[in-house]
Formats: sequence, structure tokens, C-alpha cells
Amino acid sequence: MTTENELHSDAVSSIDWEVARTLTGGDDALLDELIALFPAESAKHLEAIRIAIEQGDGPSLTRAAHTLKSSAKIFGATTLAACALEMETLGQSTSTREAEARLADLRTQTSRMIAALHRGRPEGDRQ
Amino acid sequence: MTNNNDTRSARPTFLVVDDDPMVRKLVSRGLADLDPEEVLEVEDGLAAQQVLLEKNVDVVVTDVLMPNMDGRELMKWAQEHRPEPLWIVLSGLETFDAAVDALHLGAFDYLAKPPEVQRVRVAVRNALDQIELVRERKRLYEQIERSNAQLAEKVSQLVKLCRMLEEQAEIIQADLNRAEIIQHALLPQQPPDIDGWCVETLYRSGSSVGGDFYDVVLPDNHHVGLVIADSAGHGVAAAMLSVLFKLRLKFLDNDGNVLMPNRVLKSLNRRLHETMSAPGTFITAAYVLLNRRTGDVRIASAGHPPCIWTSPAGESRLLERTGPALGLVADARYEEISVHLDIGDRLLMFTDGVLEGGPKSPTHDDLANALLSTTDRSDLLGKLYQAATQDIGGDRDDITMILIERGEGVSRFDDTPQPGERQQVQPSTAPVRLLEGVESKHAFLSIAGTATWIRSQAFFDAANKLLERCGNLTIDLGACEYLDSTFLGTLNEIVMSRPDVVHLQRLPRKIRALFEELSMDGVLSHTNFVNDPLPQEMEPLQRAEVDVARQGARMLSAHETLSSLSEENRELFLDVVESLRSDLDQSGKG
Repeated sequence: MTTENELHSDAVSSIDWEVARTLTGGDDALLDELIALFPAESAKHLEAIRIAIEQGDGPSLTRAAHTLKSSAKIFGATTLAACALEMETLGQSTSTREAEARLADLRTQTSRMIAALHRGRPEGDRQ
Repeated sequence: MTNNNDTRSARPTFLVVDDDPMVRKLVSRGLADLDPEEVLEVEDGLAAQQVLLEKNVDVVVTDVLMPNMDGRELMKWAQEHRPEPLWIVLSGLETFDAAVDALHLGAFDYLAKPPEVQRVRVAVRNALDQIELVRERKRLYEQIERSNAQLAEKVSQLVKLCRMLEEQAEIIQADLNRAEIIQHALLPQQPPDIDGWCVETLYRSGSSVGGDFYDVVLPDNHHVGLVIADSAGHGVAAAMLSVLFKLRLKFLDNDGNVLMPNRVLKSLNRRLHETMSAPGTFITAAYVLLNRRTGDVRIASAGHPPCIWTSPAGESRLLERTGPALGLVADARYEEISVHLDIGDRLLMFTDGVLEGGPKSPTHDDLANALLSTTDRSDLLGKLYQAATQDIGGDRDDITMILIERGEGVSRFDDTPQPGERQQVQPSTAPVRLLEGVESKHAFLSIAGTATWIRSQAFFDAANKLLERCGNLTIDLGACEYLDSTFLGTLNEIVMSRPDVVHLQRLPRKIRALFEELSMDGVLSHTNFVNDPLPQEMEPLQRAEVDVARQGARMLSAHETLSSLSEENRELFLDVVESLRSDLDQSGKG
């Protein structure tokens, strides 16, 4: 289990606001909308991944992990993106057992990122 | 820009296909800056199919990896069912192969995932420019195709008109041929038998029906009447004048007494003047009344070339005209000349075709010398005819000669050309050569060969341009073989638009005949008596492109001009003018 402290300690480093600003072209309103969307979207992807593992459905696993990775990249969340890519690749292998083992880590990284989003952007980043 | 046909509005419609709403938001944000009609978002290929079937989408931005139907499948389907939109593919590095695949399927561009708003905007802007280019090119192609079709239509109309003009020319030629036969029938068939006198005649019409006429009559037992006449002009009008002449010719008074030549011409003149109303129509004629017993001769001549008298002693005399041509003055008076013919004396009457044919045509002296020579009487006229027609290539005037000699022998009328002597009218095919030149502010245009409608607009433009620059314009027709009706009408317009400064010169007889046939009297009255020498440097007219509509307008204008000259012209060109007018009306509306 991840403790509340662990979440906080990594929260800032899990997001690269500069990447997010470049992608959105400095549109703060758009960025706020994306921030608001991420928790629900990621939860949807994690649930899809869980079901795919349970059903041994490789393609669905790959697709859901791919989408989660793409969402993470919007905020420059490289650690989460790396975890999601790993899961995406596992979806192409014959067994989903390894994926089941990596699911917890993926959840942790997702939670950390959501916590970082909650913390909001550093002062002076808002334009 | 929401349709693949012409009803497309100017603003574009976009479709974003991605299962991640966050990516869709980024893409849509980039598209919003391009002033779209609509930005549609769907989350997989199946939903996209539905939208593409219902809407006219300009650009699709699609993910590759999606549930239900992925991007590649969607594009394959669209290639067949909705080929109009341009495609931009979103791809992460891991799906790069799939993106290359998509490009092979015809995608316009691809964007790395997640896409930057800015890059989306640039890629889609490029796609819209591409669409505009393709559309513009298609529009231009269609325009060219329409123009080509119109051009082909115009060409076929011109060809049709040409055929119509050719057909009319054939009809006119057929009429001329019939008129020639009728005119021939007016001539005396058999020489009368006159003891102690021989009469030789030779008659050859020009290339078309002519205006010469002659007759040898015995008004009573004591006299022989010899008459020769030449109607002004050429063609049917001149032939009709000959007919009129024959109808009005009277040798006896009401009591059956022989009329003296001055009386014959005076009465003929009065009758013809009453009948002939058109300006420029007149007849020259000479009447010789011979007392066959005494050899006394009385001659009256209405503007006709002189008769020539010779004696075996070597004397000769020109017997000139004794009054004006017939039909010009209402109450003309005619003097008489008297001569006496002894044994061996000869008297020659002839029409001006003998003198005016070509460079080697005989002079009066040549004719007198021929009469004085020892040449056998029966060969004399044939030899004179040969001399008169030597080195004449094209058209020539009618030629008529009457020779009377006091002495025994056989009289002979010859009105039939020998084999090979007959002049054939060949449609001239000499290519046209139009030249222009200027000398001391005096402009010159020359027409050589056969000039037709094809160059009429260029000639018209050149004439107007020269008239803007120069004070005078002389149009030289010395080497002109033929002018078609459009070119004739165009010449009429040029001359009559500036009658004070435009003149024609060196009109060949056949071209003059064309002018006369179409009642172009105005143009004829602007012919130089003294020819201006052409400048040393004459340049060919520029071969400028003339568009079909202007060419059509030129043909119409030329034929309208000709139609305005006489009622006959109006009827002659009625079909042509109407047809041209409706063509131009239609092209004006088109």
C-alpha cells in the first residue's frame, strides 16, 4: 500500500507543466478542462485494464493502456506513461499474469498524478 | 467548405475521431481557430462512418488505435465510400508503423500524440489549402473544357456558314451559266447572203456571262445594218442590258422606211434612258448602215471605240464616236460619219475587250496594220483575237469584232471558241498575301491572291490602325485573284467609313466585276485614276489571333453592309445574315 506521505513526496515530480502548457498552446481554460477530465478518464481506463486482465483480453488491454499513456503524456507524466506503455506491451504477449502483477503499480502512479493535479500548478505558471 | 459539390459553403467542417476525450479536446481547440462551420467529435471508427455518411466533412483528424473500428479500417472504408475528405492521422511513436500505413492509404499528414494545439492548426490549415488548390484546378479544368466545347461549336458554325456561302456561290454560278446560254441565243445565227460583200464576225464572251452584243441585219433590199454594242459591267446585269438593247433596237420607222444611224441611236438612247434607272448602267454602241449597191456607209457611234477603215492603197482612218454612250443623257444627239467603200476596202468594228485585255493587246495602229496586211480575210479576226488575249492569265472582257469587206467571198459568223481556246473559270486557290507599308504619312495595304473571311478581321484592324497614324490609305488590288463576300463587305466598310482619305487602285477586271455584281458603286467611285507607287518596304500583316466571336461579328457586319447596298444583295445574304445574327445572339447569352 502507498501511504499518504509517499503520494505527496512524488506528486510534484510526476507532472511536467511545461509540456502541458506547450500542448495546450498556453490556453489555461483548456488546461483546466483537461485537469478536470483526467481523474474520471484514468479511472475508466484502469477499470478497462482490470477487466481485460481478468478476461485475458490482450487487445483490449493494449488499447486501454495506450489511451491511459496518451492522457498521461498530456501532462508530461513520464513515469505513469512508462508504466502504461509496459502494460500496453504486455497486452500483446500470450499471458496476462505479468500484467496483473503490474496493475497495482499502474494504479499507484495514476493516484500520484491525480494528487499532483489536485495540488495545482506552481505559482507563476498561470498566465 | 462543407460539401463536395458546388453548394459547398466557404467555412470548413471537421471531424475528430479519438476514444480519448482529452485528445479530442486538444485537437478541437486547434481546429476552433480555423473558423469552422462545425467541429464534430466521435470516439471510434464506427461512429465516424455514420458522421461521414451524413455530413460533408472536409478534414478528418483520426487516432489509429481505437475500440470497435480502428483508424486504418476507417480510412480503407472511406476510400471507397467517402473519398472527398483529407485525412490527418494521430500517432504515438509505438504506432508509427500504423501511421506510415495510413499515409499509404492516402492520409495527407500525421501528428505525434498527444498533439500540440499549434501543430494541429498548422497541419489542418495546410490540408485546407490543398483542398482549395485541388478545387481551383478542377474549376480551371472545367472552364477549359467548357471553352473548348464552345470553340468547337463556333468552328462548326463557321464551317456551316462557309458551306452556305459556297452553296450560294454555286447557285449564282449556275445562274450565270444559264444567263450565258440565253445571251448567246441573242446573237445572229447565220450570216445573210449579200452579193459583193463579205462579213466576218468573231464573238468570245469573257470568263462569265458578258455584255457584248452584235447583229447583222438587212432592213430592206438595198441596205445592210451592222450593229455592235457593249454593256457596262459584267455578269447577269450586263447581259440583261444586252437583252434590253436588242428589244429596243429599231431599224425602220413606223412607215417601214430605213432609219439613218443617228436616228437609230437617238431613239435607242431615249428608250434606254427611260428604262435604265440604276446609276452606272450604260451601253456603248455603233451602228453602220451600208448601201450595198453604192458602197456608201453612214456611221453613228454612241461612246463606242472607233471603227477602222482601210483601203488596198494603204489608207486608213479611225472613225471616232459621234455622241455619248446610250442611257446616260435623256436627249443625246448623234452625228454621222460618211465613208465610201470601194472594192477591197475593209471596215472593222470591235468592242474594247480587243484593246484592253493584256500587256500585248493590239493598239489602234496594230489593228489598222492588220487590216492593211495581205492576211487572208478569213484568218484576220482569229489572229487579232489571239493577239488580244495573249498573256492574259485570269479573267478578261468579252471580245467582239465585225469585219466587212467589199468583194466576193463567203461570209462567216464565229461565236464558238475553238477547242483549247475556251476560257475556264477556275476557282482561284492562290494563297492570300496581305502587306502593309507607309511612305511619307501615306499608308498602303495590298491584297494578293484569294482573300477570304479568315483574314478579314486582321485586315480591318490593320486598316483602322493605319488610318489612325496616317492621313491617307491606298488599298492596292493589283495582284488580287478573288475576294469572298466577307472580304468585299469589309472593304466596303473601310472605304465608306473614311471616303475622303481611303482609295483603291489597280483593280483587276474580275475584282471590279465582283464589286459591280454586288452594287458596290460607292467603293468603285473611290478608285484612283493615277496609281500611287507602293512603298519599297511592305511588311506582311501580323498574324494576330482573332477570337471566334469577333470573327463572327466581322462576318455579320460585312454581310449587313453588303445587304444595305441593294435589294438583290439583301435577298442574297438574307440567310447568312440571319444565321450569323442568331449565332452571335446565342453566344452573347451563353
